[in-house]
Amino acid sequence: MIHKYAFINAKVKARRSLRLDEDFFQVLQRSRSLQEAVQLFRDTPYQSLCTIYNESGDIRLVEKELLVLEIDLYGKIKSFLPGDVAHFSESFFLKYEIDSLKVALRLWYVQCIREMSISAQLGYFLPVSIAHIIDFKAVINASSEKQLLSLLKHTPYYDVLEEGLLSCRQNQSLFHSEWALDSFFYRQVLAHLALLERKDRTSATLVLQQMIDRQNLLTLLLFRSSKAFPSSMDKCYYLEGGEKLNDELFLRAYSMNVVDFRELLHKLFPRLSFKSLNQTLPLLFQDMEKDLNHLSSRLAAGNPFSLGVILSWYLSGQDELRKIKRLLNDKYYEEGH
Amino acid sequence: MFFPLKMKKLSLIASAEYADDVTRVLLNAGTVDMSEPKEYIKWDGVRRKNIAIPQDRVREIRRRIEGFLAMAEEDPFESTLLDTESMQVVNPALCDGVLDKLATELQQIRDQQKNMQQDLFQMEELKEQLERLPEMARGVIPGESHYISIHTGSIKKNHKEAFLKALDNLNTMVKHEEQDKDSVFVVLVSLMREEKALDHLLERFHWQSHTLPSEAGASPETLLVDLEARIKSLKVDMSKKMEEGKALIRGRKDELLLLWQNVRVNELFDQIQLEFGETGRTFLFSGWVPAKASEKVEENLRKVCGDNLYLEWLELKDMKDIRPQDVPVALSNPEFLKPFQMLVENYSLPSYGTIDPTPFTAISFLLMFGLMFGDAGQGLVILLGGLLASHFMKKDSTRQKLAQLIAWCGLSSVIFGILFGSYFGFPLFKPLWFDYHGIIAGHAAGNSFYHSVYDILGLTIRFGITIIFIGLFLNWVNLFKQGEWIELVLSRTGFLGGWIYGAGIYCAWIFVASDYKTMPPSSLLGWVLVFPVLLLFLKEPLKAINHKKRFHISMLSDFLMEGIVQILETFSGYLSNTLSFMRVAGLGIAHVSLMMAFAQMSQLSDSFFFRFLILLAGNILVIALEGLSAGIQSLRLNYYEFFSKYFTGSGRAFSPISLGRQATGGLM
Repeated sequence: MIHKYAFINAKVKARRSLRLDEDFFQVLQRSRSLQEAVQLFRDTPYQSLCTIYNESGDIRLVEKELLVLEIDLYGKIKSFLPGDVAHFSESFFLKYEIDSLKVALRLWYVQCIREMSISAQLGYFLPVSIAHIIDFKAVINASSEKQLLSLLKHTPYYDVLEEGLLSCRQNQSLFHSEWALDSFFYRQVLAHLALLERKDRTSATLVLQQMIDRQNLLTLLLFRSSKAFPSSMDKCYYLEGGEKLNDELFLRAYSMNVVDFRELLHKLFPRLSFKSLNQTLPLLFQDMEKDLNHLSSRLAAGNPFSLGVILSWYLSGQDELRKIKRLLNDKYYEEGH
Repeated sequence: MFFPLKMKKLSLIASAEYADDVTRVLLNAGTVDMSEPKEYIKWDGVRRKNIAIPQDRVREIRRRIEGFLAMAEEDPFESTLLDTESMQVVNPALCDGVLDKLATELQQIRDQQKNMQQDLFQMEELKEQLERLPEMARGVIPGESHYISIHTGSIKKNHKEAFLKALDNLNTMVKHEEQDKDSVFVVLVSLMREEKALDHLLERFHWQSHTLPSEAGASPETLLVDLEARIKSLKVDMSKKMEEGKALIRGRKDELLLLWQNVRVNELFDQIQLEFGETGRTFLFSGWVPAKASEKVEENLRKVCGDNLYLEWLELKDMKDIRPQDVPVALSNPEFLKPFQMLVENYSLPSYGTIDPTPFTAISFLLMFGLMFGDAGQGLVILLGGLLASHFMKKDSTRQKLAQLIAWCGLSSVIFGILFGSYFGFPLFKPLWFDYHGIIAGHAAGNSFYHSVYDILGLTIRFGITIIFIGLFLNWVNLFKQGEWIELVLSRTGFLGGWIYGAGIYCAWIFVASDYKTMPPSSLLGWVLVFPVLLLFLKEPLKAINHKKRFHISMLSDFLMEGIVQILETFSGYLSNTLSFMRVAGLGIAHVSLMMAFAQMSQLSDSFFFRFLILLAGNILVIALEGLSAGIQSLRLNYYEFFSKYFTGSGRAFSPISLGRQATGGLM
């Protein structure tokens, strides 16, 4: 294990010093305008954000750059990982390809089903291929569900998406397709998780359990709060592999009254805030990020020669990027855009 | 140069009316490291001095100004000189007003940039599709992979403006030309996915489809040229917009710099006053000043306060409750040693009153580098590269020092190259010391001392022993100065450690000289090795007695354990430290071997050009890789083998508040 992780462990430790500290985020939060906030990055590893904003004045391009940096983080990790862990990491980071495909599907849905122009949004789309070659431009421009599916024929996404896409026009929603992609992602990662060595598996399981719990919780909240989702909850919307919610509890939680439901959530997720179930999703996302960050610190303090340290570095890096994104967005909306 | 600057602690009490004048004197002097007023604010009636505007607020304003100036690539430190004479009280509302106005004006430019960026995205999408058309026509990519359509036709002349306006909502490229007095020729490039919306629009404007003559420019190639020109022009406009933003700030540069100057001086002024304690009528403070600057500071203080002050200078030896670690450390070395001072500071600062390792580091670092990378030709390249980089990095002092360090390494390499007779890997001149290349190649006559690789290994081990002994000697000087007598005599880096190390070397010498057959007689071994080892056990009990600790039976096991650990650390530490210097030979041999390999490779080619190319590539590779390795290994040997013998590194940096450039960059 030491031999396997010695190099990347040293690398990760050296790079930790480049992370932004809490003082920086406080200053960022207090800055008086978006452009002044962006300028704060000029002497940091995120200098590119400053350059992009000064050249384009476009916060969405800055967001796109943040995603580029997040994927770059994955690339740096991947290049140093040994064999079995590299396979796991590829399945773990398939998330970016799937997220990219989801955005492409949404753009396609807007242009093809809702017949609205997406030209202004297309420049912000970042196609990401991790394991499969996908012509994202073609997906977005597809003129029908069938044409879209034919573009994915050579990938596992064809089978995953077929049912959801063929019914999306009728359902007026991409929910089934997006959910199917998430489900596929978790199945893939769990399958690769089983192949890891014990110490690595323990660390990775902690991260995955938290992610799956979070996904199940979001599904529950969305189903309970919005009429846009199927009117009844089915076991098929439950993701296996979480720690706190089993399938039975998941179904029961859906039909609980508000008081019982809130009590259950407080019990299961004590670190998350559920003040108003319908209106606090952004707040909940923030809490979830904090929760993952907490896990990241736990992993960092664990065995230095295991996957845990690498995952911890990735999670804290991701947390940093998301925090930047959130704070810059706050500035943008504070200015009344 | 051999010790950090001598410091004196200044304590002052004066009439409250002089607080501002005294602050000005301290700020202008820039040589006072203010102490936290913790000690005296505990006294009855003394409180920390209040300042009018919170530091955070002033800092925020300063940072805002710096942010704007940075957008226009302006560095306030370069453009202004701070002075306390023109200082005025900061008016935060006024400053914010100026900066908010600028932010609003700048935001308008940013919004325009954003719109242009979106237009650019759309044009680039059309361009990408237009570029694919010829390939599709040739069948290189399938026909269904294009998503654009080209419409040619005409509309009524009086509909033209409304028609063009309506097209704004779609991603289209339009070319139009008057056909006659009633109608306008139009070429429209649009995306298939917007075809339905476009059809509605065309119908609304009574679009008449027809084929245009070729000179109307409706071919994909002409449209592409046209689109590329538009993209180019848009990009030019965008960069003009960005420059407009910069120009807006530059237009306010003088105002911003004046504002910054005042805010910065106020910030520093307040930083000093925050360390003041005050009573109703007096104020007091203390701080560390380099002894050589103390007279000047006192003279200026007396000039502004007259006799209305009481001040006192104390040295470390006068203050029983102050430890050496509490005194700030300022290293003072000649300019040419600054790159090596950087290496020391990167490790840590020496404790006050102990030896400054910089001059010793300079010598040992360069000797190590030269032994590992001795080549006059390659050294000259490194020397010139370092000097050139140093010349171009004047603005960044850290990088400049790094470049100077590289130049020093190059010089060392040149000198050792001449000693070893190596010039870009070739023995062009007779070596002044010994023929390193010849020894590695196995054909050197060498000199009377160095004939084989083992002799080179032996040389580096002797070099290592010298370095370790110098380290021990420096440690003894430090311990002597600090009055740490028990450590000086009985620790593993004290006299006893030196004795054991010397005895170990003597034993090894006898063993090697006897062809690895005999050790010194056991009676002698007992005196030179066993006896000092037993003495190591005395250190902890004597320290306990010295610290007047009450004896407890459980302390015996602690003493025993400490003694055993000391013995293990002494033997394993000195052995590994010494053998570690073999890397100097290892890297030197690798360097020579690599150059020999490239020389042999070049002989395989008949062409002069290829031979030259192989040697050039070899030299570049060796300079880059071996140069880096030798630098890292020299640093490592200094940090772990040399510093660990005498350098406690617990000093805190001397950081006076001054008007000069301090570490304010970013978020301070």
